[in-house]
Amino acid sequence: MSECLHAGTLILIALPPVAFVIAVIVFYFATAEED
Amino acid sequence: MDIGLLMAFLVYLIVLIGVGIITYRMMHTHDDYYLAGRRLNPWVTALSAEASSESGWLLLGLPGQAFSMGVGAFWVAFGCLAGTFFNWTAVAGRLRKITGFFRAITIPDYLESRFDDRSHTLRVVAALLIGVFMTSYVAAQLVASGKALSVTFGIDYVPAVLVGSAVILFYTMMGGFFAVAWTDVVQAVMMIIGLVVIPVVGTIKLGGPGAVVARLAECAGDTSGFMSMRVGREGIALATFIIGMLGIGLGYPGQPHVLVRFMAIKRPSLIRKGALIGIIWAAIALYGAVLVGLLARGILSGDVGDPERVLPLMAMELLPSWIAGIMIAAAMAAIMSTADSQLLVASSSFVQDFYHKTFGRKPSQSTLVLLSRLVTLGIGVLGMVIALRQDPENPVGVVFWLVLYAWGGLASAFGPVIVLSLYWKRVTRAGALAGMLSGAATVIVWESIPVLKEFLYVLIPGVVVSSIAVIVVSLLTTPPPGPALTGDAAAGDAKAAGVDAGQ
Repeated sequence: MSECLHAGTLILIALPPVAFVIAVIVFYFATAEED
Repeated sequence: MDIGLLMAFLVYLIVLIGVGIITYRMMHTHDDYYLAGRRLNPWVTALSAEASSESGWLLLGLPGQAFSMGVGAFWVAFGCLAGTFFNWTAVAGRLRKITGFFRAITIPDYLESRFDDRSHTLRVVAALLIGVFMTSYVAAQLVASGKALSVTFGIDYVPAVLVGSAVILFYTMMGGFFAVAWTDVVQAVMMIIGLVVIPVVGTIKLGGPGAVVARLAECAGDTSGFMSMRVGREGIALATFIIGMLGIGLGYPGQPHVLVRFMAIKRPSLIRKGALIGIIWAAIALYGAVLVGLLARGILSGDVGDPERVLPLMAMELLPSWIAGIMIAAAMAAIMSTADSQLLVASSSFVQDFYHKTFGRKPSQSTLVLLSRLVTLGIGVLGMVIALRQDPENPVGVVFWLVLYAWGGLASAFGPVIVLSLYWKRVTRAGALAGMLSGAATVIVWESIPVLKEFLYVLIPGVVVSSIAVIVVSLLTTPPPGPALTGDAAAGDAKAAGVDAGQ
């Protein structure tokens, strides 16, 4: 049996790091600078 | 023994000892020893938090899992990334603000102040849990470092444990938190370089990304689900597998050796920058570690033996010996950066939480620093003795039994209490105590029943039971008098009182 990586699997793998990095950039700009 | 490999490794050890000597001069008080006087910059905080939380598991365990399981190992990476994100965005800032306000330097310190617990019960229970879990955890890291050194350089296990332990103990005793945080930076940089260089060189060797996929499919052969995120499972088995893998990420808010890093940043506002650095580091490192394991399937030929050796084997296969030496030092760095942080947290639970606060001793700062050094040495030696009693050929011993509980146990005992206490004013002292005890107890009971253990990773029931206990017991007991301090309230009250919560 020779399986190949499906396009859906590749998207599933690539999505979380992209999503979390975008989310932390949003967090960086959206939060106030004051202490 | 390869001279290039040995030289690269020795340079690394000398750098660590140098950091110990330099930071020795930076430290004058007890606060400095355990929290670097709350003056870390966001880069040091971020890299130190990441290097401490990931341990040798990131460079040895996760590649091993990817090598055995296939692309399904990415589920663990997702869970860890989500946990890291939650810790930085939801826990770190508030924890820094409120602990700055209370002048708390340990997690038991924070719990006692937050719940105004004059009986010291919360402090004693929390310190005991930390002391027991962390000492065993340190011992296990020393076993791992001994094994890594003996495999790489062909020396005996006993001298290998002694060398690794002596270096970690030297710089932790000398420089305290400063030394640990700065060596963590060196170690985090080495780890990320290793986890980028090895996958890149491996991909080039196999002929690019397209060729990697084809080669992996060919090598996976009959291995069920190697190339699928379903890892050959269906229905409930698939669901519990995914929940268990993602659930590892729930452990992050309960790790005292990581939380104290957030408490040590110079100003609460710097957490934003720390989050940016920490999460990008974690995304690259976690994905790099899985890729190392996957590529090893296509590159390493013959019987690899223990799958957890794939990263050192890949380094030796793909890189010149002196660079491979640096990569193997990076694996040791991952072990050391966790062991040193745990050593310090365990030491603080004895000196700060028992001697200084519970028994109310008021020695001078220099006496406290000396005592902290001696306790660090004592715990390190205890960890080393436990490590030396392990049979390196048969690692299933008492230490590994305890390590199995350490991440899940700390996560269940402290995670829900810490998070709820930062956000919900209604949490009571009894609720916090119930959460810590029920979380730790659930982990012990669940792990000792094989059917339950196989069904779901212990951390999930531990965190669920602890959260319910905190909420229910808090609602059943008398609310704290006046407005309890949460992160925002602490900052507000501090300003109103003219106190700088950032210091």
